[in-house]
Amino acid sequence: MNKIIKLLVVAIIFSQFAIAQDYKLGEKPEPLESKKFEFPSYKEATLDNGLRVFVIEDHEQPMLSFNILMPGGDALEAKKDAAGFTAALLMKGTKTKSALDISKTLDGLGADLSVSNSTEFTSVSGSSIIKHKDVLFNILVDVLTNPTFPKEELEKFKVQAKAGIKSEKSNPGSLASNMAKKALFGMDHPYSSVSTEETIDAVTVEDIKKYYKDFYLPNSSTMVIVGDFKTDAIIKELNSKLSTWKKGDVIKLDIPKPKPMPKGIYFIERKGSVQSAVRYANMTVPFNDPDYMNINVASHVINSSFAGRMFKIIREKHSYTYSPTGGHSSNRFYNYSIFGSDVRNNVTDSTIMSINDEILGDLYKKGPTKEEMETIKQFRIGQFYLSFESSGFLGSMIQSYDFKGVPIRMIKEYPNQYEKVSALDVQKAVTKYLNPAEGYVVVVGDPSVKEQLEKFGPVFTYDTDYKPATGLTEASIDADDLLENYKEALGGESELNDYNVIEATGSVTMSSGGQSLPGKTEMIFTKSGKMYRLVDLNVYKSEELYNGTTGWEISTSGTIKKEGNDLKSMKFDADPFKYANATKHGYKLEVKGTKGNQVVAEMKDGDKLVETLYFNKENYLLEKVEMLQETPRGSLLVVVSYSDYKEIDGMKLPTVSKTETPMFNMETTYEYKVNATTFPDSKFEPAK
Amino acid sequence: MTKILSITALLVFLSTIGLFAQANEIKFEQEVLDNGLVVIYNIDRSAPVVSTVVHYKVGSKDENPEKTGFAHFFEHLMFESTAEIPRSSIDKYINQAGGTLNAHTSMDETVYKFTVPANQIKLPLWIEASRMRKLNVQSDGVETQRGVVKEERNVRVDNQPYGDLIERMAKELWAGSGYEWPTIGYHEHLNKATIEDFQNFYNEYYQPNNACLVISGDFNVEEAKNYVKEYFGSIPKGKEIKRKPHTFSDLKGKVEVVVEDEKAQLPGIFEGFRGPKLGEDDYYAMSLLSSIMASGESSRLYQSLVNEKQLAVASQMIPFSLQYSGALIFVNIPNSPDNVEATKKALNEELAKVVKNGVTQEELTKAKNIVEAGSIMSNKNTLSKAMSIARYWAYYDEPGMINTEIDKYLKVTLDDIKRVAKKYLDTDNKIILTYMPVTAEK
Repeated sequence: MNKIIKLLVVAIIFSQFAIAQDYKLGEKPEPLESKKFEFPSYKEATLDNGLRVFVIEDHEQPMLSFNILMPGGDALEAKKDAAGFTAALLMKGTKTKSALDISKTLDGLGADLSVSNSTEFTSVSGSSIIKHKDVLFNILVDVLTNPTFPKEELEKFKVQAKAGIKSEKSNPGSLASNMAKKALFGMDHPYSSVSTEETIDAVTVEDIKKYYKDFYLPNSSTMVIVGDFKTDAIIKELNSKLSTWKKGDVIKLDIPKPKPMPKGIYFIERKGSVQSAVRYANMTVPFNDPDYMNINVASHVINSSFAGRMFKIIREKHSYTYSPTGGHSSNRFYNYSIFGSDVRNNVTDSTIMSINDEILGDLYKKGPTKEEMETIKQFRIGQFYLSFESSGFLGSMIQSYDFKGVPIRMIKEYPNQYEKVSALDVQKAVTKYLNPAEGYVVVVGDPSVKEQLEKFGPVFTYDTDYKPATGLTEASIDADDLLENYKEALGGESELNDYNVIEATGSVTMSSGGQSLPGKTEMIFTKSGKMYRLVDLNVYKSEELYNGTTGWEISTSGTIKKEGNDLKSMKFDADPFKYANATKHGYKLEVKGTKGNQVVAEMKDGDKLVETLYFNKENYLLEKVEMLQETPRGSLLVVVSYSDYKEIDGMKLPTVSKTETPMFNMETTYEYKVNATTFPDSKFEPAK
Repeated sequence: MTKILSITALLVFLSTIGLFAQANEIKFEQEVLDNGLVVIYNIDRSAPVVSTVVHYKVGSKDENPEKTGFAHFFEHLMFESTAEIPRSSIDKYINQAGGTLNAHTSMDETVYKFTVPANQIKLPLWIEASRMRKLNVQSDGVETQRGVVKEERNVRVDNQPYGDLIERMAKELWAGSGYEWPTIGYHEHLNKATIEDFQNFYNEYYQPNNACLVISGDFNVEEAKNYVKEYFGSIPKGKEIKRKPHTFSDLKGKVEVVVEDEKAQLPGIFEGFRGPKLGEDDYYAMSLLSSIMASGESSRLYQSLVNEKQLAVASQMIPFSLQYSGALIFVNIPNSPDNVEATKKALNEELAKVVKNGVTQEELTKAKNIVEAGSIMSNKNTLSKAMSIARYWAYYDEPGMINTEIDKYLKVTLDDIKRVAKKYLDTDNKIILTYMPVTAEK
């Protein structure tokens, strides 16, 4: 090769190299001028039978699809599972066609017709290519007006439904979300109840016929139809085809109030899980509430696809998870936020800490960042516009807004409404509605995960049937012996009666939300059953007084005289050895079993559980008491543990007690004096 | 319609649907850049939306058997960073533009998808070009995605009932080939993989001459061509990829495995046969047979196993066709552990029946109608159209099959069905995986 050619080759190579080196793709491109969004048009009409129809033309492909929404659903069924069974059996036979005839006809056209039931309504939806629409409509009318609900089809379906429960149980995500709903609404509320073998067995053909008669009514329903047709022609056609579907009396939509469960961690033991399904659950507001949109935006900041904090932090920062899940529901009456993630077992607690601190705690303290708000808004509003690519989207929005009692024109306003939500609105929504202390954490995981959860508060353990898992083994001691042993441990019957005054003073530390308040406490018990108790946290002071017959509570907010059950429990509290004397106070003790190193007993008032007591199995001293307390924020589990028992004047008394609730913790250290002071009666009554 | 259609087939065809298939034709324009990148433009003005799809011809089958999981790992890594794009920004850019993104990996392909408002068309093109030109394969991104992929495996495989089904099935069906290992790969391979390994994989497969870009939606084609030229035009062509030949040894006899599954509440029976590969004539006959066997409540398996005999809650036949081989997997979920044997027996009776007698004209017509309706209804949004076009390019080098593939289904005859039933299902060479729930004694 001659020199020139060599140089040329070098030059060519070099120039290519240089181009490759210098090439810059440039900065992120700016968007082009935005295309004007035209809200698609639709027409509303009411058929002679009262069915309101929304019609949208779409000529892209020769097809049509429709959805009929019939209010009702699980929320209003007279018997559990009736709504779901009616939906499942509607297409299983009419006066002239068997289930097989119906499915053969539909399958033969590649058409689809299906009925599904949900919490607040039942839907019948169908689609086909346009040339088969007559057949599709004929079958629709037939199943809506002539269903026979054959008994043998019901029995077949029951077998499948029972298998379905089992298969749902194998899914940790559905276990977690079902449990979360139970915590929010109570065990058997229509929004939370799940089918069981018993509820399935109990459904009869009569139940189904009743549900069908009450709720499959054109005059309470809406239909949205989208496709390659002319609006006026299709309305005319529907009016004539559906004329045999007759009006009926519409039942009022009346949903029972939720009965939330005690606050805390709900843990479902699922043996062999390699991941824990962690879910945060909070009750929010109805769809038409002014705060609904703020909570929606907050929920998107927390968990919205790639843009949410769950994705950024739990997946991308910590790699605890593959895919965060959940969000804010969009029911008409009751809504909730349930979100979380499936994470590997050994980071279950780290995930909860991270959600508490980096996601919720940070939003509560600082609110979302400006960039977060912008990203979420652009994303969500963009998504809203993109969704109009499917004409079915407009249809479902119309039907959904209409059902939830929001004017349809508000669909157009959605982007503006979303845009208006401020960072402060989001911060407030997190504080008011998504605060974990006001809600629940649900975990489904291997039993070994449980101990990681205990540091977050009381853990309620359930099995995969949503039944409490007690973890108790049978105890060999009965209630009388247990009480006898406990009294002996405290010093014996005679010592426990041998006092005039027991006086305890001590220091208190109350901690809540990362802050702690110091304070002092004082307790006085007299032989004659009088009591004085003070808790003074400087910013808050409470005194309880009991003079043997009447009790008062004096706090910063005033004096309350105790009555009824409150008085009864005050009298009980006035006994320094109240648990040892439980039977004398009219309570009944039942030994439930042993758990670890403790004997567990329930103290009941009649049939009502009052407190659960945990005694040390070796020395029979009382170590822990659990009770549920009703508060304006729902019922709370309060756990009081006693330790560091010391012998004082022949009696064993605990010098440390810890009170734990989901809202706050309180630790108290006592010093006791026996018969050291005498107090005037006025100490036990409010000042006149 | 092709001209070789026989008179009888034509008669059957006309009698069954009355008219010719009448989906509205999908129009597109194709160009090939100098660096080998195939670009296809499809206009759809039904909404102000644009979807882009970049389909790389690389799947888990292309991996080194000692280094599995790479193709899927790149599905994650491609969202990390490039010369122009800082870490974790792609999702942010797209989200802020109001768009969505996703990606998937299979044994044969890795596909990246964006959908954005029409005025943002440049953004996904710029991102795709940037990561096709030079992806940063760096340790921080690799470490994060290693953790995420492990959790993905936990979610998808280890924590699901019957979770390792495809893994076990593939191992038996395609032993000794690239289809043998799971797409998600083995933990230990990803743990051992070095930055250099990943870089080499990228250099080999993430090249313009191994990819197709489809743009579908509401845009101006001439403008789009300019953006494509600007962003992709100067990416150098990659080396010719040396693909190993894909050969498959015959299955030898029946393989039966019973798996105890703590996560399953119901048993699962999975019977796997070898099946046709994508696009061969048998593939279309077999797809229709699958539909007859298992699509809808009037299908044979549903009627027999679920409805009449009430043995199972689900009975499905899944044709699992790949570029170089295929499988037919029968999925049966008995409604009780007591019905496992009866379910197997009932399934085999149905298979024997179809092998012996074939199917009826009514059933065949029904199956063709289902395919026809499906092909019309699925060509409705920009992303699914773009994905289909890319797949027709990748497997058949003929994007126009989005309009014509339906003809191949409509040509299938009763004899074809009988032939494929016999060819693929009349054999003891199959894999039977039975998953049994482990129920704690109460």
